Amino acid sequence: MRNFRCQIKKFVIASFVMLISVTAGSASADQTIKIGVIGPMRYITGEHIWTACSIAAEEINKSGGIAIKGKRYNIELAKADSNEFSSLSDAISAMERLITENKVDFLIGIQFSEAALALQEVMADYKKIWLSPGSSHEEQCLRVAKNYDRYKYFFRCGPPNTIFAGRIAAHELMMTIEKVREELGIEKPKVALFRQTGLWAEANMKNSLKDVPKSEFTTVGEWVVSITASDVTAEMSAIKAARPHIIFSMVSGPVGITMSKAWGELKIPATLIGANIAGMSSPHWQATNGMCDYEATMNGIGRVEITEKTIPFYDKVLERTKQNPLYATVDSYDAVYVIKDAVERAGTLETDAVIAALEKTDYRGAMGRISFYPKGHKWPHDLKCGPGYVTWVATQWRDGNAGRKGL
Amino acid sequence: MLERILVNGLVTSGTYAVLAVGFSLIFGVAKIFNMAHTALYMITAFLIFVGTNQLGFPYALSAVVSVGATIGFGLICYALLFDRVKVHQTAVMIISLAVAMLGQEILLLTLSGHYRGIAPFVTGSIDILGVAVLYQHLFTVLGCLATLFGLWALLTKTNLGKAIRAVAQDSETANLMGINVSRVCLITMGISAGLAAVAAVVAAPLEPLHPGMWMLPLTMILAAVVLGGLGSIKGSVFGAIILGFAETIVVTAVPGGSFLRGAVSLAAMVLVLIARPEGLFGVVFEEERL
Amino acid sequence: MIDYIRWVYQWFKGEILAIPGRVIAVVFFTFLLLLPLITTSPSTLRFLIMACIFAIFAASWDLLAVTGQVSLGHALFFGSAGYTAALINIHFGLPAWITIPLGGLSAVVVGLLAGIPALRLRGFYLSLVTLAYPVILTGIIFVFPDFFGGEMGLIGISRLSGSRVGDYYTVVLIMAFSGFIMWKLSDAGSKVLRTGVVFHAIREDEIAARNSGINTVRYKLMAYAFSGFFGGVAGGLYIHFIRIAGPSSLEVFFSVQALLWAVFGGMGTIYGAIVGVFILFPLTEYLRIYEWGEALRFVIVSLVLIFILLFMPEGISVWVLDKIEIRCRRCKVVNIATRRNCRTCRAPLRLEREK
Repeated sequence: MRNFRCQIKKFVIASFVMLISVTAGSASADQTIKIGVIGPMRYITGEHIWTACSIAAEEINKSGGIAIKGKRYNIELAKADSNEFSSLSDAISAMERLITENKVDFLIGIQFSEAALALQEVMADYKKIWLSPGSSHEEQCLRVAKNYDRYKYFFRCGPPNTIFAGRIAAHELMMTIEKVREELGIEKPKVALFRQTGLWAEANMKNSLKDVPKSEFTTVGEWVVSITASDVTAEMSAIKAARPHIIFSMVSGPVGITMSKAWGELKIPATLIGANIAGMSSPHWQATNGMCDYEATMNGIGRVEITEKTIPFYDKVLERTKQNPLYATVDSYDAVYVIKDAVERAGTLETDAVIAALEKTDYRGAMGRISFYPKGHKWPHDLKCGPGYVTWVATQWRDGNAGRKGL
Repeated sequence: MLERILVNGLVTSGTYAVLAVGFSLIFGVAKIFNMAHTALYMITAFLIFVGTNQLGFPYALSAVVSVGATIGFGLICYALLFDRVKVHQTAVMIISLAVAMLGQEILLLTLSGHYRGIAPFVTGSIDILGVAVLYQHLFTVLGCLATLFGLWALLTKTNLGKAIRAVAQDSETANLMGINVSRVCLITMGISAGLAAVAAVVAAPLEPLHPGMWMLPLTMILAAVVLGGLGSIKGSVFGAIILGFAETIVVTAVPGGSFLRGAVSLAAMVLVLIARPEGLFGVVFEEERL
Repeated sequence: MIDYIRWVYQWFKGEILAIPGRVIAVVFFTFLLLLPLITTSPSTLRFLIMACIFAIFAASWDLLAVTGQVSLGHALFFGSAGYTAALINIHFGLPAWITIPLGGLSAVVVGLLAGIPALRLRGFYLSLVTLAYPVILTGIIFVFPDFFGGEMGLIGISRLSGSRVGDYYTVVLIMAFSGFIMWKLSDAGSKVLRTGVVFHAIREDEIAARNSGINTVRYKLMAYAFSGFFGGVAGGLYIHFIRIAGPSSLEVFFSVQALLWAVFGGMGTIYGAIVGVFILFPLTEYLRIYEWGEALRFVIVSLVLIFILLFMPEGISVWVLDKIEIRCRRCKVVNIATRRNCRTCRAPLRLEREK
């Protein structure tokens, strides 16, 4: 019995020693800054977030890394599959694993809003700075306003929230209305509204209609479809029967593909514009068999000179993935540089100092001038949008390329 | 409005009907609750996609090859997996579910999770009763009708069909009458997988392909089969038609509420089953009634 | 006092140590209770907490399955209780130890409502009707987005307890306790409760059970109520732990998972469901450590499911217990499989041909 106890003691001591050496080992491994990249890695958005972060990290490491008080730090990336479309608990444990096992210093990633809200709790528990490139709902930043001390680690690096997205879509609609008026001589074009269910589309649609004067157009009706509807021919043929000049869409799910396909197949004589998230990515052309030709959508990036960094970045992504970058791609790419910029200005990796530096960010990235709203604003830590900051572009599909030529 | 409901309802219910009949057939004959049925549909769709878009075969050729491959896969699943644990119905259910998940994961790993499309077999549209109908839709409806008719002829006019129906009614007696029950079950599995594959051939060009596409139709065909009465082929067809039209009516009449299409048609199923617990065409022995 | 201790010792020796399955259960729970002494790694504790919550969920599914009612929509209980607990917590500020039982009670109400159509239905008809419930509830939630938070879900839910270790002990104890109660409720050999034997009778032959004077309607509804309550408790724990109540907890796949775990572990046994969760859930989590594992983990899990069920179609726990336990034919007492004679009545456990 004594012998047995002795062994237990030895085992306990041994495991303590091991534990200490492991923690000591990781503490002494400096000279790198670890960034955790989390996203639905088996889906296109996750792949793109990862590609963008890798490109940025390689560029920074090649040009000498991050300089903090004369010391050089290299960026090291850690990847985690959030699997957020099928399991919320999986996404949470992926994030926690990044923080506790991989011991990352910063986090970038996530797309799905419900998952983003759940993950904010994990972020707040561990006090890790997180730049989110994919999910758009403003609730995430309203939370920062409500409880700044708890959620101040969260920064939204795009896309524009629903208020701004609505405004961008309104500009797109206004441009199209003017074009129709100019070239077809129709004083008050008829507009059919087509959106999917859910807050995002509803809020965007409402906000964009608020910004376009009622006297400019007439609506012929609004059609609302499920985010996963596999057939919208019924809705589209109803729209065709209503004879609009413009179809103003607001869809983010797979229904975007179905919509473009039905629009093309039915040869509806109305121009399809608005926001179609599926329509921003390269596989859209194949998925619709080219039926999306001439469809226009607002987009986070096109191959146009938004800043001098846009086109080189665009080409790099194109070369690596054979696909156009998505908004999440450019957001993540810039997020890595924003971290570099903030850490260098703060001169330390200490969280509060970095947050203070991030709040003063004024960085010219590939998607525009990046800056966050300060504490005390309605949406603290949200991406500043509007003229002079991030504005987004509109791209149109032509011959298999969306926005490669640029509008 | 009425015409639109009619045309679009036919398209939706046609696909559901072919899928539901295949599911119902193998359940009736071999008592296998095959959760991988719509996964077979998905596999065929992706095989056609690989054939037409990546290998450059014409649509018809890759469709034929894919249907053959799917039937083979179905038979292998049956012989190696389902048949061996047939007495444990829930185990079969979970194994078939695992097969479906495996299919989804392999597709995710090899082809990645974004959406794809198959070029329609025929392009363009025609106006019927003032409704724009895609030729592809006509093709789907006619294909479904032809398949259902073929199945009906097979089941009623041939000896094999007689054997299948006999096994479905009472497999023990059928066995005593000299019918090779295990072979009939195998053949039925082949037919069932073939029906799922044919549904993909006629309907897959209509919807975006992705590795999770088996889940939604699975719910709907299960509902259709149960609504019509388990094991009744006629019932499955009617169940599919009712659910297909219920969906279309919701979408057309309440455009603002079309996200409710699944909920409404399932609610309709629940109501029918409360009124008629054995489904529309199901048979229940009097002593089993509760 | 000494007598009392001796009695406890005797009871422990006779009722626990002599039966291998119970020894495994006791060792397992002791291990869970002592685990925080070895490691307090948050991610380990997190996945064990999730495993415990899902174990309650799967076991509550199994409780319904004991009566032969295979539900394909068990997320109904999980989700509705989760939403109820979240709404009470957000609007009235009540703490978790009140909201979780209230959520459970709301699931009982939902369970009774759901159970009424079940009285007329059986077999796969019933399964399919239950499949429809969560889909319909999701529809309702989307119709009232302001109240239920729409697709984003409800946020701002309070914590389960102050710390991760606190959460862990809360959940492990609730899991052990509710697992034990569910097992007792479904135990056909119980001397205290007659629900177990009635539930089994209903599954075997409902008509015969009714002919024997059993009010099967009452017992079936009772099964729904209990199953709903424990499923609801799991839902309440879940939302207080991950701190969001969203529509993803009502998805069809979520319901199917309960069935998957329970059938894998051994259907109709309660402990089987817990075993199933504690094998499959850590497996998925463990594979994550490796880069190849993160990509392939669902492939591996599906293959494990297929192969285990192919060779142990009644579930892994039933198969294992069959190998290590043997029931005496005369007095029905469970013995370890290595014994030749029954430990109480000394009757030979196996009939052997004389050489």
